[in-house]
Amino acid sequence: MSELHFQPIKGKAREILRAILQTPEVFSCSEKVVFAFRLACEEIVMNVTSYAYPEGFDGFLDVFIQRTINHVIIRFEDGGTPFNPLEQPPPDTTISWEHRSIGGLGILLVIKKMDDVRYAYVNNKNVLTIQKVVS
Amino acid sequence: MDTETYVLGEELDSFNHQEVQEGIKAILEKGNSAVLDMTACKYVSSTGLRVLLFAKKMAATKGLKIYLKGVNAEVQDIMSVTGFDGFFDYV
Repeated sequence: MSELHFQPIKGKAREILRAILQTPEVFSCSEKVVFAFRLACEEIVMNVTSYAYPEGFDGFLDVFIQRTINHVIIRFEDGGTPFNPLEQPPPDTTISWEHRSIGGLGILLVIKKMDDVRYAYVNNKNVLTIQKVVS
Repeated sequence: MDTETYVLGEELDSFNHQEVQEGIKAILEKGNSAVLDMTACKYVSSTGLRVLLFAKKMAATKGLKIYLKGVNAEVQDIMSVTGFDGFFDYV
């Protein structure tokens, strides 16, 4: 299991994302699985580094990455404002481009590309866990 | 109406979207339609999709077109999942 602690996090999304993708648990997966984790992690890391903490306050992001026989599980923990991304209304993917807004695409991709996504608010932390079958 | 090609790099994501958006915008501001050559592009995130939608909307306001070229299977899948695949003409 890899444990990564990031602080400060403002403006560090690229480095954080790279560090997650380079952990042995993720790096050893197939190209297709790494692609899916890259998409999901980019969305989550961008959200936390950009919006989790109030302006002028720089908090932490902890990332725990675990590989079981069949799964990779990544847990993100931050101490920012409580926010459950799974409660946001999903975008309507059937409407025409003229009426499409840009909101909600990222979390939609997280949900579509992962096999399980869970949110909890525990001990004053946002805990978002994503899981994918890798074999 | 002329068409100009913008060649994308290996990825279109949160870390280069502004540069790509500016490049496409420059083509449209000249009054040209744009072919986005995505042959080398192996990764498009949700931020990248937003750039494509921005381009489509900006082109439409000017009576111009956005064409996609060389979209690979993984990127096509992202576009299908989000309902973006029908928004563009392919060349």
